[in-house]
Amino acid sequence: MEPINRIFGVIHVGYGVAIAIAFVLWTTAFPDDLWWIVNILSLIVLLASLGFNFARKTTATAASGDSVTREYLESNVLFYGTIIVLLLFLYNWISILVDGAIGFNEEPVRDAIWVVIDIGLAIISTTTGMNLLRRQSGD
Amino acid sequence: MKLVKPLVGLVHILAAIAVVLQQILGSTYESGDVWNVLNYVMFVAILLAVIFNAARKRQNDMSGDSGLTREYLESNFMYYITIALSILFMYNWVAEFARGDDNGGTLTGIVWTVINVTFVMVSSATGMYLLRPHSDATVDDATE
Repeated sequence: MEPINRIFGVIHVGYGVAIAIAFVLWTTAFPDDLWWIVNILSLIVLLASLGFNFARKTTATAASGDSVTREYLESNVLFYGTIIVLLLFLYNWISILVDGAIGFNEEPVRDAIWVVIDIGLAIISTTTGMNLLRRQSGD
Repeated sequence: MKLVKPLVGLVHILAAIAVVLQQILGSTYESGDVWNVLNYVMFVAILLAVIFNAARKRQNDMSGDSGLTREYLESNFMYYITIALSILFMYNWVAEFARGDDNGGTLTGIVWTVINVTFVMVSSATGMYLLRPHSDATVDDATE
């Protein structure tokens, strides 16, 4: 499992940083066509995060018994946070696929949800990656 | 470092007071230029908050204490909320530069309100923590 954890850890951290930079810069020079690729990559990263964080949560829940440990709290927050971001992402993405892409500010609610998704995705992806790398290094 | 922490704490408190006053009273006068100046103050304060809250979280992570302590919850909460605030602030600020005179519409206005309110909370909480005599966060911890 160690090489897989390391590879996915690096991918998650890299993608989290990349999505944060893309989010900050997209009004300046980010080509709109690129979001199509970013959305597919985001789906893959979110599904991978869901898998890793579910495994972590299951292990932590079994190990902690009735007590609330750091690992229990962190794994649960990350797991449910991933589910929330994934649901919001699928909702917004499917809306675009059905209705077609629309311009900025034409649908303020959808734009606001993208803001939440992008920030949530950056934090969840980076945190999941850091955890995978920490586990790999034996911390 | 003993002088730096209270100084940075004071900067955070003053920045929070300036932003909360401007947020509340900004609609009573032509406040565009004030926000243009305050954005730079907020940028510096957020940058310092990221550094000091990362140092605080790192120090707690490395303490070896595995319990669910108050310091653990506080340091993690402050760190992640500061990261989210910094991304959101940079997004809206960069967009403002990119758009020029265009005010950006409904979403930008809502996001600025969220940023300003969150900034006041984060900046004042970080400032109060740094002004406390027993706060241990150091920049060295963040850069090690």
